[in-house]
Amino acid sequence: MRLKQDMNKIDSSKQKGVFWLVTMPDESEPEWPPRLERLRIIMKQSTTLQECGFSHPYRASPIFPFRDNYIKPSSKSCSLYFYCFDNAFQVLGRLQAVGSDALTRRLWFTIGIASIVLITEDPKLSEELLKKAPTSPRSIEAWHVEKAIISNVECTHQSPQEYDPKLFQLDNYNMLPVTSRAIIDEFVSNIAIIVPKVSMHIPNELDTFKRLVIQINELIKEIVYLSNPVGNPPSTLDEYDKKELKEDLLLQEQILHQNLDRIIQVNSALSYVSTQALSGAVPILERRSLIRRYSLLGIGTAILALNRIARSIELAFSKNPIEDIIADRMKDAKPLPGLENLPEYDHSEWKTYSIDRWAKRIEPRDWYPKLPYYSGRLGFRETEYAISAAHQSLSGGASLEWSLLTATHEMLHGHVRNLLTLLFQGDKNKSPDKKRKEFYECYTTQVLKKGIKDENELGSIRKILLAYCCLTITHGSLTRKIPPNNLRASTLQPDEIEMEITRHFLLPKEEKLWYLFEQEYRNISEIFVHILDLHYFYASRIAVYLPMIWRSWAEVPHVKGDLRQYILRSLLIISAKVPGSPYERFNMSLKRLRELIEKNIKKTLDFPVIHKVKCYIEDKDFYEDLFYPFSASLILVDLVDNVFMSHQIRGELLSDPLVSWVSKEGDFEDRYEYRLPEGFVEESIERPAAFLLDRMIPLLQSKEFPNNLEAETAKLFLACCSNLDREGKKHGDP
Amino acid sequence: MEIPKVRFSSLIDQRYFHFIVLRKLGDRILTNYLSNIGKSITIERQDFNLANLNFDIQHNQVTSDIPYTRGLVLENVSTSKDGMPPYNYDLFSFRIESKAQTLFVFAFPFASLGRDIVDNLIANKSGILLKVEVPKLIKIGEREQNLLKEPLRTHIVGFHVVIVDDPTISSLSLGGDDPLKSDIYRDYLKSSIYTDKIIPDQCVLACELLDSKEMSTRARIHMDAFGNFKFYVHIKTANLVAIPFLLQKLSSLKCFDEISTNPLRRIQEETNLQ
Repeated sequence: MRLKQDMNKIDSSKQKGVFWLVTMPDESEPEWPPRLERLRIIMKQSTTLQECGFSHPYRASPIFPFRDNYIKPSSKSCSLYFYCFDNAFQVLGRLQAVGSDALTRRLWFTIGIASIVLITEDPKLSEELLKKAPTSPRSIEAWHVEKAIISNVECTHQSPQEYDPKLFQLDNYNMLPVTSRAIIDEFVSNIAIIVPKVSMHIPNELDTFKRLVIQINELIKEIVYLSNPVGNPPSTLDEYDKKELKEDLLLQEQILHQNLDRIIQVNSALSYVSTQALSGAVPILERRSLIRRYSLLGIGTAILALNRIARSIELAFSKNPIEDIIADRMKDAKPLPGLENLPEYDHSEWKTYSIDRWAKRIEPRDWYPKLPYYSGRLGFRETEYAISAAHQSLSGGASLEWSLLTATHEMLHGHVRNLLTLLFQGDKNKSPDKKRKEFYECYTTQVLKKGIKDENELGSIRKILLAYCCLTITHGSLTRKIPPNNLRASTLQPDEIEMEITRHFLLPKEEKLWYLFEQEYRNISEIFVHILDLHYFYASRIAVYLPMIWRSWAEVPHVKGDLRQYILRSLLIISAKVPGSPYERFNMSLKRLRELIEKNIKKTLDFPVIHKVKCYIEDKDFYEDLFYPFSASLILVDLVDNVFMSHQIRGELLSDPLVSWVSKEGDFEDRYEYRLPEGFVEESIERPAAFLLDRMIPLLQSKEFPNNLEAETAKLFLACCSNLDREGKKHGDP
Repeated sequence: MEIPKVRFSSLIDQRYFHFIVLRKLGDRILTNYLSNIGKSITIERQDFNLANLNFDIQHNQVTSDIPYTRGLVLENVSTSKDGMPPYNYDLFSFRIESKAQTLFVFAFPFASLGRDIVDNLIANKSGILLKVEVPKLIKIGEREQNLLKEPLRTHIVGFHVVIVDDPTISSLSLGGDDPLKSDIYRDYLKSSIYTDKIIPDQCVLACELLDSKEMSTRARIHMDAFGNFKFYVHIKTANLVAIPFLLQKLSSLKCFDEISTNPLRRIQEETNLQ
């Protein structure tokens, strides 16, 4: 049985560790302050930095040999060439094919923005590299080293991309109080530092900052107006009543604080991005990365990889703006059929009500900028303006536990949050209390007088969500347990119930229903996210998604305390691909779950918690209790699967010529593959999430961590951020 | 329901077998159809008696000087493993009895071998060859729900159609987890298939057999409109057991039709090496 971190599998005597490229002050000539040109260069191999035994302040970064039969410099006099290519992955693929032995054996790669390093005594090898590379590097830095001391540094770089500084200017905010001004000043200062460097080193990302400035400007306009609400409010405040904006001090304060809070969040993200994305850019020694383990060369490539993944997802969603569809179209569309006899329902026609039917009639929206960074404290998290990944992904991103694919789940939470908010937005001119009252009255009228059609599709979807909440009273949910000997008895007090609509389907009083909705909100959101995650990022492959999420859940302490919930989630995920009655779907989903657990329990899922799950799903007393919460939640699964799962978005996320499917005898579904050979290849990876999924699948077969985990992680990062599309543009270019 | 465990010699597993289906077969003895091919011996026979279905599976081996395949495969079937005759070919046959009728199956590792055997069958006027009505099966597959109590679950995972009205396209294949639920099928093909403007001529049926302990046995049966069937025998031949259940189901759905010509003569990929 596996222990956390697989300690039994690590034999430290066999680990050689990574290579560290290190600079430190020259000990023989102590000098203060130390001059850049008198820094000592060291290359050392060890499993930890501590083992290197450095006694002076140093900067270090791991570097990885391009070839197994690498050559380290034989003398202490050589040159180090650092190359910043936009498409380093393809460059290395080309060099692998056409580079001389002498060149390729002296090449190294890193996760810094200078991702290719050549260490050689022969300057002609640098010329060979530049001649054979398919593109030119954006910048090069050469360190000439004599007796292990940097004697000379040469930097060359392409001209920075020109930009109009006015596009990065904010509207006037000098009338605001000093504390508000200070927050905005911080943003201005961040932008002033970042944008020139971005234009120099990663000019493809200038657009991100332009859009960010536009968004912050909108917030500032609102803050300025609300500080002195005279005249017409900005159009971004259209959802509020004009009179209310001018007179309701509480509302003004609420919006003001929200906007300032957003700017504070952006400032926080920008400070991460500024140091993480650009430290290690040429000139390398100008600025050290604040992630100390990578203090020499930084983690620029890792940032770009995270950015590309987030951007490709955001672009897919922006091309199919579900928000506009819900807000503008669904309120005029016909209601979903098959809801006349709730809690029974017929979803056989729901596919024709999919959001895709408006695909060609809705204009794409602008994509929202997301600032990427790595955080040990926050881990994987998505917010309105940022996407963070766990610090552990920097060294272990090629493992199942710390794969960047986890970021997709977080981004979906944001998508679903928007979706659910819009479903209950209603008339913007009405107060929340009034809207809730109307929704409740509409719902009760519909469920009590069966046969009366819903007003529109939006109304019918609300009905489904509220009916689900009502059903959880007697059937339970992911988090609500019904007493085992009293299945389908009500969990509400009699005075909380308005009436019994049918047997085991109650209508609570208005306040109680909304309370239930708030309690069930998280469950609804999780079910939505899981079904969309399955289809969008795991190519609808149950046989891949289930083991992967159980692998990640196995490491989370609170999962062990609530296995019932996570088993139910698994059953509901599987049910999205299983037809039949609720009972048939429950039985088949249970069967599939057992099969997948059994198949993987000796390999990737060999954890104590999974062994416990196996026992539970074979224990009749346990699993029979799951049927009612399962059946209550099925309506949500079918709603997402048929209406909210967009084939357009899925197609956009998987639209890559290297994506393919393979039928295999004995499997219950086709297998997914990304047809890219291992190693460096001169190919364009257009959809990094699709590529990552394929690279994770073989890890399900093994208990072991991948060999050379850190080097494999670096390769994945290089692959993810080097995706030139068919037109030769970077994915994400307008 | 307990699904019987079928295990035969591992010589014949992990490869595709072609097969044909017959009824009213007067003479089931395979050797009687091998006169111009070689000598056959019965290796093993297993009988299974279930509540509504009885069947037996017989493993024969025929030794012949005729090379029905080529290359490495021919070397493997060669007695002396040098690619020279004599060659040993593994064959299966089923006898499947249900209340409705008795069906017979002959399975061959190579279509050309099967072609010669079936030519002899037809010459002997022994039995009535059957084919599946593929268009009917697809229409049923769309509507039919697998019944809870049935141990066999099936669904269509692929089909092929020939296009004749559009000069720019000659054929189309759809495959996947559930192509009959796809937008492409529903929006573009369904009405043409239902009005016989487009006729599916091949399909792949995924079968899953569940026993009372919910152990599952899977098989994918490829079938065409001429009476050819093909399936992949899994390791230790465990999934052979799916065939009688599948044929019983196809029979109950009235998907079979009679044919008089040798379906294996329509398979192009394996050539006659005589």
